[in-house]
Parts: sequence; C-alpha cells; structure tokens
Amino acid sequence: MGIATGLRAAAQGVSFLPIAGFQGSDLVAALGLKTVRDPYTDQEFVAVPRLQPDWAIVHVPEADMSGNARIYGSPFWDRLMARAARRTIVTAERIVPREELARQPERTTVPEVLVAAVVEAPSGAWPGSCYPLYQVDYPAVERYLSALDDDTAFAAYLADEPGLAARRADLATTARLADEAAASERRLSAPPAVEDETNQPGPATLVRTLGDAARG
Amino acid sequence: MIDKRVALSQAARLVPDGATVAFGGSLLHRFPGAFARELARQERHGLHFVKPSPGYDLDLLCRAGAVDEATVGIATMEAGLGMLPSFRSRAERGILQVHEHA
Repeated sequence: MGIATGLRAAAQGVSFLPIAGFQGSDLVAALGLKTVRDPYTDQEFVAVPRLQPDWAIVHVPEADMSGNARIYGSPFWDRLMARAARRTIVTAERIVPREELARQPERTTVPEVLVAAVVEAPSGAWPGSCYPLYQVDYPAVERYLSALDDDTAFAAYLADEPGLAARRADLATTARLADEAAASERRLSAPPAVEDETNQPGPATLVRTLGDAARG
Repeated sequence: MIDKRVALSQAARLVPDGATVAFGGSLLHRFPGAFARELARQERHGLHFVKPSPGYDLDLLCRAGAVDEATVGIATMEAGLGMLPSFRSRAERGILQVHEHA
C-alpha cells in the first residue's frame, strides 16, 4: 500500500501522495511518515514520499525487440514500477514481432519508451511461475533453500542453476499452450461484432463473446 | 524501431552498485529470477531492493550480499515454504536496513 503510493508519486512526478488507511498503524512512526492537511476539507492524511527506483526489472511472457511488453494474467505492480523508475529492463520468455503486439496495443503493459534493454530469457521467472507458460517449480525452490547454509553450495547453485536445463526443455513443449492461451485471450478481448450504433460491448455482448470463446 | 536486445549479463551490468531497483512479479510468480541470479553472479553490492511482495528474488540477493536496504511489504516464500531465511538473517544481524510497509 505504502510502496505503491510512493511509486505512484514518482510516476506522477510529485514529491508525495496522501494515503488513506495508514492511520492507527505503528508503521507510520516506524517509517517516519508525516501527515498533510487537505486544503479543501481540512482532513488529515498520511503523506507517502516519492519512491523512485533507478531501475525497474520486469519479467514478461512476450516483448518485442524495442521493449514493448505484454503480460498475461495479473500485472501485479509491474506496470506501475516501469512508470515510476528512471528506466526499465525487460526480460521476456520470447521476443515476438512488433506487429503481433501492435494488433492489440491496449494489451501492452510496458511501452518501449520506458525500456532501456530487452533480454530474451526463456524460463526467466524460474523457479517461479510465468502465466500461461509454467507453474511454480516447488522442488526447485526447496533446492534453493537447501543451498543456503554454506558458501560452496550457494556458489554451486548460482553457477549451475540446477534444474534449469530440464525446465527449458519443458518450456519448448509448453510454448504451444502459450500460443493457444494467447489466441484465446485475443478472441476474448477482440472488439465484438455488435450491430448497435454505439459499437460498445455491453454485458450481453460480453456473455456472447465468452460463450463463443468457450465453444471454441 | 530500436533493437534494444542485449544478453542477460550485459543488462545486469546496467545496474550499478548502490542502485535502487524495483523487481516485478509477486511472491513466487513472474519474478525476474534469471536477472536476480545474474546480479548475484556479478557480485553486485549495496542495492536498495523495492517490491511490495518479494520472495525468492529478495532472498537470493540477500544471500549473495547484494542488498543493503529493502523496502518491502509482505516478504515470504509462500505457504509451506516459510519465511525468507537470508532476508531474515541479515535483518536480524542489522546488516540489512528494512523499511516495512503494509
């Protein structure tokens, strides 16, 4: 809550933003946060100072070579981080043609203007998940936890990335699933063919579109 | 259209010692794991790590000695795997400054 507010202040170019909901928390004193009085209503709010990262690092399923990046599923805070940071590095499961993202520009989470570098990094979120390509690799997370106790084991962990080669082999076979998921999302969010003059998707249209998609 | 593709190692070199870095994703989902490991291999130091809900990424960078300061909300591996051992250890020893948010 406080972090997102600090990032929002950075993204909006202001030095702080007021926030509701922090009142009564010991965190206000622990973080040394000050309050600000609303000049219109005289209400008091906690003021969260700008939090501007030098870099935002985001991993995405798809990006083009210029850094336009698309996320499937929740963007979490990635969209905000890219706008708050001075510059962004995108790592992507796969690099796709610009035209593919341009067909649905509203699905681009991070635009290229914010991006300094793009890295093609298959399995780049491993041992975590990357929707819709792969789930969390829990045994690999446990292997990480078991490599922490001595420096030699941890150095070996970083050097060898145990399990990553196998993970990448799996990824090749799941690329097809990603294509199917992407095609499905395109169907779901494509402008519906409605006949009314406003051409706006109403609830009935949405249900019809979802039904069409479900029927394949 | 500018081609901004670089190798992972080159991209990690853009982030200098002491930089404030925000990591995307949440808990064990869609975090830049390969990038975190590359920063660790390059022995980055003094980073200020920012993320509302870090997990593996923050812990690995703490274990590698890359992070001196962390602005975080919930910091955990997720149910069944427990807390972040390296993060906790450094915080308890006072060598990691933690700014805790809700």
